[in-house]
Amino acid sequence: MGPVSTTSLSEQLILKILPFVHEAGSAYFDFLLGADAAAVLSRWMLRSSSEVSIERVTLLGEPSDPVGGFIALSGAELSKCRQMDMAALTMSGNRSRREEVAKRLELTRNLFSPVEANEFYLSKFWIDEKHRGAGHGRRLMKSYISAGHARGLTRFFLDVSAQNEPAIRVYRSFGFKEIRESKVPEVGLHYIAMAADIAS
Amino acid sequence: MQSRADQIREFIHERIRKVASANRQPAPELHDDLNLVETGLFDSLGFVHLISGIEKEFNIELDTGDLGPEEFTLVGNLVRAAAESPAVASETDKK
Repeated sequence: MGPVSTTSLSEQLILKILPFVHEAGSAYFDFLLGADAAAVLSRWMLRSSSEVSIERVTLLGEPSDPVGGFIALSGAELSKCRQMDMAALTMSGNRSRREEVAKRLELTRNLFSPVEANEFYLSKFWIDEKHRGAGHGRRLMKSYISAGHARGLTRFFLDVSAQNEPAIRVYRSFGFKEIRESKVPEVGLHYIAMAADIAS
Repeated sequence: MQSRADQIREFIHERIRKVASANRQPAPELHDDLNLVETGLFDSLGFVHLISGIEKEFNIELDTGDLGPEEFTLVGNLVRAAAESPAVASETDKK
């Protein structure tokens, strides 16, 4: 009899897509979560109440070798999920770690704009490097917009690293406009908030 | 005499009342099933400050063990976890 695997399908999928989810939010995650960011994210992905829950991931292509994917949720869900994630982070260490978390949250508290309850927020978006340049980004964006429309939402919102020019070009081509720029120069964080009204 | 758990519960209730008052919001009905996140009174930083406040007031290292955030953000679970958390050595003890 062969060895018995105790890894669930969710865990296997998380192992596969974790590097992409991490990379998609790396600047902020690495600052906030520190050296063990990937390990923290993998735990959060298993929790339904997390912004990065595996249950919120939409993949393009075969799950065994996805071309890319995205995580999107309404502003109402986002607010609660982010607070649950920050509560988890708060309780993940000792008192001195909590003091450090408080300092990092204080520094970044205005980095991201509040998202309205009826906006559909693109939290993470990625295309596997080996599949880039083949139009998959546009297919995924269409899938994101369709998912918003399926929920009855027509206002779309995202934050993107200001250095990610290729992504910004794709978002602009779908009608997204820059509405806010925010920086925390002390730690090198620089984001642009973009929004679009897209009727179904 | 109030038990330690009752003192911690009262501390949390008082914080909720103070934050609600500062935000000019009515205080929610206070009970053990109240979820601190769902009150909308504590943002991420506010929750860290609440936890740090409990730890300083009761001189403990708050340990919520295996509870997930959906669980330890409930007042009753937070009170129980805090009441069972170990005390930390005071500065005087360390000398």
